[in-house]
Amino acid sequence: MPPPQAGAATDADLIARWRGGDEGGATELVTRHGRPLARFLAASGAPESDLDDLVQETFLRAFRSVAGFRGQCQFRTWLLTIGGNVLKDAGRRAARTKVVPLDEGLQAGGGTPHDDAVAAEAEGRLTATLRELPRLQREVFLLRAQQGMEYDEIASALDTTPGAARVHYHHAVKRLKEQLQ
Amino acid sequence: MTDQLDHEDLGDAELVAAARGLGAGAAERLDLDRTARRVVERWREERARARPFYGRPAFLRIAAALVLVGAGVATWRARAHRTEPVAVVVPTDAGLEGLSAGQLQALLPTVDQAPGESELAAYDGGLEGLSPAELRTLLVSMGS
Repeated sequence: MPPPQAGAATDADLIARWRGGDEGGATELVTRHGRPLARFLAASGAPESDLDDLVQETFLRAFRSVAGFRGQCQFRTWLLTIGGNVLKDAGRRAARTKVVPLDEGLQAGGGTPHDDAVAAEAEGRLTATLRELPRLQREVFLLRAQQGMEYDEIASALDTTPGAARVHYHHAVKRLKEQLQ
Repeated sequence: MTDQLDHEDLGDAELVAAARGLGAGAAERLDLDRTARRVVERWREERARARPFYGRPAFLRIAAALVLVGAGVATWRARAHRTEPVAVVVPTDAGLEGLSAGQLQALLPTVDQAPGESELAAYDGGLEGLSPAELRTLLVSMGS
């Protein structure tokens, strides 16, 4: 995870600015963390059509409870775990209304149609397999493999120990390999 | 961080690479400026809804208007009901005999009132200069 560039405001500065009434602080936080959050949500099974709403909802939920954020982990890690909760709630609502999301593989990509289809198929299989993992394993795997976070950081965000986070990661990898082979 | 991860999880390199690419396309297609604007707007709306009713601008405007109307009504009523003090002129040197029934009735309340200190001071000059009517008034007030 790239740290803020030298001279750039830290997340703590932006949070303080926003809490002091400067909406620019909130805008900067969304701009800085919105895409990694979207990747995390998409990898966790969020349909692309819902991605914008889920990102918005995650930030709003984070802003509502930012007073309780004590800097026990990085803002982004904390944000991603909130994103996981938002996605879980959205999944429950979708299950009640029986909305079937559009297949990710059918959506337009950036390469040739053949490349897009192959990439979408591989991505679709991995996403589907990830979705079958227990939530904690999936989140540890994504925070580690996709977001590049340390086990200490992951453990703080998920309220577990670094050793347990490591075990969850390796279980996730084992199951993913078995399923994808 | 990335090198460390690749080294530690070397056996999983392919899986890690695939995981890094997950959702990248969808995230790139996200219009982040629009998302940020919507987040700020929704936050603003949420805060406005959460504000207590007496803190909302519409309520404050109505309250201010009511205060102005109330103050206007109070001022108007105070002016409308203001009574000018009625001065009763009693021709004291003429005695009570020449007074009509109405004039006598108007005089009675003033006779009931005990003289104040300032009025008593006016009698310092003695009783010689007083008319019979004034003497009678004085006697009645002293007796009450």
